[in-house]
Amino acid sequence: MRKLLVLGMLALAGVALAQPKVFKGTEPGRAGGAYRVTAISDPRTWNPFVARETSSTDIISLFLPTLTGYSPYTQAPEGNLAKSWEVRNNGLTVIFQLREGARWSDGRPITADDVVFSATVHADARVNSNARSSFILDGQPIRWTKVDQFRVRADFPKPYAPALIQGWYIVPEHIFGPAYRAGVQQLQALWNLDTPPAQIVSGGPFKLDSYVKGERVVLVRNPNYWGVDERGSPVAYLERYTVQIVPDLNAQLARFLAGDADVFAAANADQVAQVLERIRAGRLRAEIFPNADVTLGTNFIVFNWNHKDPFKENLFRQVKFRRAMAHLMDKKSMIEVALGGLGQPQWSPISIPNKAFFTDEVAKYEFNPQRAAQLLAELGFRSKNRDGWLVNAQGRVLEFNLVTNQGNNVRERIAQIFRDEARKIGVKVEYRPIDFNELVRQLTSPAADGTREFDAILIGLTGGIEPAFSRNVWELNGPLHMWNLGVGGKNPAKVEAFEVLIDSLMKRGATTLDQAQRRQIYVQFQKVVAENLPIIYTVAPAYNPARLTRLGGMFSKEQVNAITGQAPYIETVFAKE
Amino acid sequence: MLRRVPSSSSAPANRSFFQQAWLRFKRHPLARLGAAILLVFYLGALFADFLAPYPEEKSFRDFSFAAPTQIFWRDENGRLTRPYVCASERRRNPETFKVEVITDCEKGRYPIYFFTKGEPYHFLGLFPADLRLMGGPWLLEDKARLFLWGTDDFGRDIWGRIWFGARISLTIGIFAVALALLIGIFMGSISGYYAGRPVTFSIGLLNPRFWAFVRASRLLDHLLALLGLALIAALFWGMAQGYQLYIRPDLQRVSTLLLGMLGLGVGLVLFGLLLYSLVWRSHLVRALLWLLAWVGVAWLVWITVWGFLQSSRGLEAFLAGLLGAGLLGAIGYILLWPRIELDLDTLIMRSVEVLAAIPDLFLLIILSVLIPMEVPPAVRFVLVVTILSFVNWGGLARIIRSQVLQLREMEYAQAAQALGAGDARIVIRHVLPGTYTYLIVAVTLAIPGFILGESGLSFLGLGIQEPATSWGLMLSKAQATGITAFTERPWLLIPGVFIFMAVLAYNFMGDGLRDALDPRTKV
Amino acid sequence: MYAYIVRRLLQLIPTFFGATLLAFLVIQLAPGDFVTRLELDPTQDRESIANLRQQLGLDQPLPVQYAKWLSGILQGYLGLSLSYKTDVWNVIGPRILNSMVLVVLATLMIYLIAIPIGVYSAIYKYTWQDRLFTVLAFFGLAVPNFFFGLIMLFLAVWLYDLTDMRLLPIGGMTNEFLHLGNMTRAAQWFFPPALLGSLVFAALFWRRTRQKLAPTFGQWVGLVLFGVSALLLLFPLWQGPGLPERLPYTDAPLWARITNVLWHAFPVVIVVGTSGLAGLMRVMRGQMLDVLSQDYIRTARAKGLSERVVIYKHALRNAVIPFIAGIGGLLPGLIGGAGLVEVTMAWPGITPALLEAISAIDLYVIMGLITITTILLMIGNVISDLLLAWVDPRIRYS
Repeated sequence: MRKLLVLGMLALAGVALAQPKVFKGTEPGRAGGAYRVTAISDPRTWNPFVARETSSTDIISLFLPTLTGYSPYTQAPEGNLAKSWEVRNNGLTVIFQLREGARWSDGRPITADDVVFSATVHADARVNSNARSSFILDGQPIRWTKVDQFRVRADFPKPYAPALIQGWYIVPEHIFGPAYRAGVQQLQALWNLDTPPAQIVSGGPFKLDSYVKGERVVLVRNPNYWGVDERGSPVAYLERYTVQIVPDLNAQLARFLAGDADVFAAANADQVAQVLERIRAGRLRAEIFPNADVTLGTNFIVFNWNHKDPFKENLFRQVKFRRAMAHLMDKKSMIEVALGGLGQPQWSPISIPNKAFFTDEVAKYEFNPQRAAQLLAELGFRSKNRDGWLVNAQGRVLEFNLVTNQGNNVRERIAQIFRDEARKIGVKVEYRPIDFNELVRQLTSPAADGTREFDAILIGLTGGIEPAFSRNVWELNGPLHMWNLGVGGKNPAKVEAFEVLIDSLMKRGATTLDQAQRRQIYVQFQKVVAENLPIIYTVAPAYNPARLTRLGGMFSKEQVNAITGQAPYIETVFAKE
Repeated sequence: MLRRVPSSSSAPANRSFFQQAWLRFKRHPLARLGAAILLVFYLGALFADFLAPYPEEKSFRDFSFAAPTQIFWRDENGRLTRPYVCASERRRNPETFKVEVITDCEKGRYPIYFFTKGEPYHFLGLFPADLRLMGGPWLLEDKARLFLWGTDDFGRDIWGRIWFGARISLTIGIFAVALALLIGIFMGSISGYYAGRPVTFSIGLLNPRFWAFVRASRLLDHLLALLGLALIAALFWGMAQGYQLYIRPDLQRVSTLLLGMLGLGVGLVLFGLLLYSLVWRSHLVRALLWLLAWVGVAWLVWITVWGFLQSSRGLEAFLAGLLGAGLLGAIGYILLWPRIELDLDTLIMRSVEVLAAIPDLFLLIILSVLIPMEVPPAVRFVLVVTILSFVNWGGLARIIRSQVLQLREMEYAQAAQALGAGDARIVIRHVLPGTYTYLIVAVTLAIPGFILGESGLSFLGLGIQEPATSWGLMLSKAQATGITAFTERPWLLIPGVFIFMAVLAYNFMGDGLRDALDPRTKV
Repeated sequence: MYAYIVRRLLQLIPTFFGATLLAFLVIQLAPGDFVTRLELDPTQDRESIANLRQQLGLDQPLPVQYAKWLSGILQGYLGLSLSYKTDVWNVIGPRILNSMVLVVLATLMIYLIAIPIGVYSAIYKYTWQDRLFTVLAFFGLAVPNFFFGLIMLFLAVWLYDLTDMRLLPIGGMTNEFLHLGNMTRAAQWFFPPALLGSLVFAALFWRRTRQKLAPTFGQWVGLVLFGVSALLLLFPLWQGPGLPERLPYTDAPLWARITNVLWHAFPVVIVVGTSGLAGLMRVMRGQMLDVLSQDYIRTARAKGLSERVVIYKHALRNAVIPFIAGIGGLLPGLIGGAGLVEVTMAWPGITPALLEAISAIDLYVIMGLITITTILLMIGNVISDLLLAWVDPRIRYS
């Protein structure tokens, strides 16, 4: 009788999951167990249209599905809620086939209506969703329409390479629809942190169980999830997923060392040493992979080419000057002192972990003060004045201010190391940390005549896996074309030849569909940037993941990477004990 | 008035108050100890260049977080010898990821010489010198390194930087406390002393009492007031000239800035004295001054409303116009008729409450934007501390006020008043001494706050910037290292020990001072 | 007196407007707003940033923004948090409560320890005990709280290694799961000594009262401490055996939840308390020294009053003037949180939330907190002024 019941339930599950996604884990797993992570800050909302920070989206991604994503093994596009897709019309149209039988946790089916509705809301300018940029291509909208109950169609105004990456969250129309129709305010008020967790409907591997402000978010397995493992048993394996909010990195380390958190990413060699020491003393059953990869974040120096002082503007526009500055970066020291011992030098805009596009064969202006001095001499700075600073024939001292945002230890130290080395050869660099908002204002708000006030800024951008998503930085009229910024969305007044080349490479890269050709384009892009140094890259911090050995379904040492993390899918992680 | 009987003989009973106080202070063993420690610290700060083997900014980045250099006393044969150091190398162990310093005496032994020639420096910023406490030719040639107390993240010598840091921590921190204290005492005593005794601020022109008030002072007073006004004008002119000629051209230097602040302080005190002793006696001048003040307020209101009307329309403009007209009408009325009395206590205490609402962090951010990059860090720091003192005197003022409220009712204060002593004299000679105990304790408690808090300012780019240093900044480095500072590199905590010792020393000295200033303590 | 109170209450209105206007100005004059940090996000274009600014009303002139905020406040509404998109009170309210647990406990600890020690140090001036207390207090003052918190965390890990028991929590305010079994067993261990202790102290207490003497401070403390712990331990003894070994926090009985929070609060309170100890202790000592050398104390002693009466009735009453003046600061302090130690030890108090609000420039969250603080400060000052007049009848305001 019991067997029959089990069989019947399995059959029912089979019906419910007519087209499940098969998650390929690293090893066969078993159901049950808990997974505990730490987060640096509280989520701000459960509403994907309001969420702007990773502390919210990291959790939302556990209970709301996306159409497609990257395969953790190949970095190629992979279907999530979309079972398959069909590219038509020379890439101008993509038709996504949804998984039939996929259900929300309240039992309603996930259909094309949900997808099209979510796309409409994300694209609505009044809603101001963080994902809005995924629905606009060069000012023209990407149109989403319903084909039938399980097919949606996206029409692009021009061919778009990342068209298959649709990482915005899909919400249940039956909940958000009425609110949206009642007004944007009502929509934004939905699913805030005070909404009872039971009312939050899930279409992902987990569903919200409880939230204690400032302490923890608990999610439990979503039994209606549309995923199975390779043997056909439903995932996620984990019964419980807990996010502990621990706002201090040292406290996070303490939690991991005590075995209260399952995973941890050591920030520097000191933390690695502490974890290793504990593992060796036999007090912690864990493993750590120091220097397994580097993180995606970048740190770079950018000079102001729109300076109100024509002397400085001219100087900063000289490629020899920028190369001289690159030669002054003692990256070895930066890694040891600023990054705390682990990291790698960075030479070009695409991050090292981004294997699909990264190339190491670019011009490298390595640490070499003599060469820097020589380049500066070629620019006319041959003699030193009474105070020991380099001056040109007119007696102008070679000096500039360098600022970075206060509170960022890594950047502050990088800036100091650079300042020290520059001063050694007679370049008068004044360094000071300033408030982040003031720094952004100086960087992004030119005066009416197009000039900006800063000399040099050390800042960083969070990197992504798709180079086309950084077009705002590299295209001539981009709002983050930091070194040479145009006014009011126009191109800068004075443009160098290589900038035009970068601009056209970025435009081509975004519209080329063939993967090999795209790589070609971005390799050239990296070479041009590394050669001309509009942005001078410094060092990238290492990714040093650690985890308790009680976890299964994790990546091996070779597979661990900064993009995917320690496991291919959260669905196939399981507890061994 | 009582006249003081001149003390003639040297009989112990006839010692003056301060002589007695000094005797009491000297008998206080812990106070002597505290004074001795502070003397050592201040001397160390003064002779920091001599004590430190390396200049303040010298960094060895390949020696980041190196442990204290091992100093050897015995040679290869185990005989005692002149202390020496060996060549060493720092690396990160690839197995444990810990920092190790490998000392290899085979590669070279370098004896430490005392009172030797080191890197040149300017003693007190003026006299060129190159005498240093420890070192040797090898140190100048960088064959081996001498880090008595280890190094920080940039590989800078902590021993030397303790003394360099003392220069900031033991001066500006104290300066900040003193400034906040001065403002707090001033405001608190005024507030407490005048509580419940409103001061006439202004009387309307048409009010008969106005003329009675003006006629109440004599002609001589008017003449004196005129003299006072002339003197005040001369004082301001002199201050402006002094600033233009001496201070402004050389703003980059801390000494100049301190001189400027001193000048400003003396000028303000002089101004206050002139105003109080000469000008205030003439009621005519007072009346003119308040008229001027009200006209000024009216002018401000006019400008604001006018500006607002220019940039708004509709109901908003109407309301603003109505409000402006109302305010101006009220000022006109005040000028003409009523007598306005101000309770200084209310005014000051409510200002304290208003000022308390200012979020310090945002104020600091604004300052960090307003102060130009060219201003050197030490100057910036002094400026910020000064401004903070002008905002944060509230708590102290409230407590001083509460004590003054109590003390002004004491028999001796009442007696002084009955004898016809002036308000200023009563407050300074009879009321304030009663608060000494509290003040001394408050100062000794506030000092560590400022020494530690200074690192918070550095964090915002407003305090001392690396490579310059202070104790607070050095301790914040240990914090940034996390728990490793305890387990692996305890030498980073040495600045904390110094802060602790300085605080205790100040406190013991404060104890001694308190006893010394208490006339009831027996000599 | 009533006229004075009414006048003081009326003064609250202009003060409140002045304070909030000034705070609002200062926050808004600082560079950047809530949207600024998005400008560095490569995926955001100019249009959506301008859009967002307009939607949040951040593009309007300052007076208009202030007026809008003020009209909300007058209706009892603190505004809408920019990042949480919900009422500010929902954001800060629960966190203020969490912080209050710490602050109230720490304040209790400070007052209960500092005042007796301060009095003791004043009476036994310059003995080695006095000096020891001074050194310890200043140690607490000179060690940054942040650091002390870190030490507590790793002390917890170290104790766990040593004993294999969670003697101290590793940060946080509650556990996800409560080990009711452990609690019950611990209660069984601790109940007998607690009961014994309270009986002993009760006996001492009783003997003292029978001798017609006021019980000593130590007896009071001992009786309260042992008595309260014995009472608290009754709950697990009574309910514990029937409960499962382990329960999620939310399902556990109230006594277990309170115990859990108190257990987590213990190291944090120690950290916060030690740093505040020195101040109160030294001030108390100084004031006592001042008062003890006054003539009326000599008179009181000469009258043959017992030393206890002299100290507690005559001296202490006059020595507390500075504390009473400081009560105004105590009230807003209750909601101000315990500072950075909340971040270090992952206590979900107001400090981490405030820091986040500041870094995001979530204007209305910051203003909400300032508003509450200002009102409490003003009320606190009124109260302390009234208390001052009550403690010392010579003080008068008019």
